[in-house]
Amino acid sequence: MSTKVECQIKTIEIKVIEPQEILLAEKQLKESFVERFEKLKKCFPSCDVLDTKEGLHIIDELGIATTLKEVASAFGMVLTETVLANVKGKAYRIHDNSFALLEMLNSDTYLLQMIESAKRGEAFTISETEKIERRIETTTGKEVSRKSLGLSGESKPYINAFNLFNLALQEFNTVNKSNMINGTVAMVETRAKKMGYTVQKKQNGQQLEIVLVRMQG
Amino acid sequence: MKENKIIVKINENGEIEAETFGMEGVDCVDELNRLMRDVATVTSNIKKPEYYKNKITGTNEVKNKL
Repeated sequence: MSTKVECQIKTIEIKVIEPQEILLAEKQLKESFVERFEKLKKCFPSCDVLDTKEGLHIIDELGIATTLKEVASAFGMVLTETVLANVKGKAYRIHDNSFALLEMLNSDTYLLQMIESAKRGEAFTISETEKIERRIETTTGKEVSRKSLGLSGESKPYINAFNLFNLALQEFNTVNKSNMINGTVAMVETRAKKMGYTVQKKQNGQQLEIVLVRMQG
Repeated sequence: MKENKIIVKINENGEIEAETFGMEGVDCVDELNRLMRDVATVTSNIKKPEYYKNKITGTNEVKNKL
């Protein structure tokens, strides 16, 4: 039996992401920060918020929010003390991990193209060329075997960029869940102390118990 | 001297349960409201029978929305 080898070129469309996928991730990141930040603000009602070109700031004008940094840290935020013109008291610049991910979405060339396409409600697709090698029986013309020699095109960097972002997002979501719990605990602790309670924490398996005691005469 | 006690339990899913001990009247509810305001969304509030006898020990169960 004699055979011949033929090469076939095929163009295929690769769907990198669905439009709602990346927009949902962006929304989720923003909401996660807002939810934790709102709780932090409610825990320290005497503090003000200031948004400047340098970033988001929280101002403790009266200097009475002594546990502000600690509670913010439990919520997963980092506060860096800074000096702002015309601002009295202590000013802190807020940093949160969600900022880095949002920045990634808004600065990465590949991710940006995906977002633009998602905003138009379109799935992001890239054309790739697939080279296929076919072995054909000379006499009958019957295909004996077929193998792909691989894809060539531009989809790889897009897929890589999205996978990297997705990994970072998954990691963020895991940490975010414990940040919400830790922040809530710190918030209860701060409030309880302000109300005159002594605070004791006990870990009971998967459950944390906060015991608050106040003696009244 | 009287001891006022609140026990707050938080599980791995962020659900919170809070219970007061040694408080009378509506104090227990007020105290829990002061402590848990904006911390969590209340999903159930259980009052012990003593609450209706003016000798009150109340239990509030609140669930934190994650």
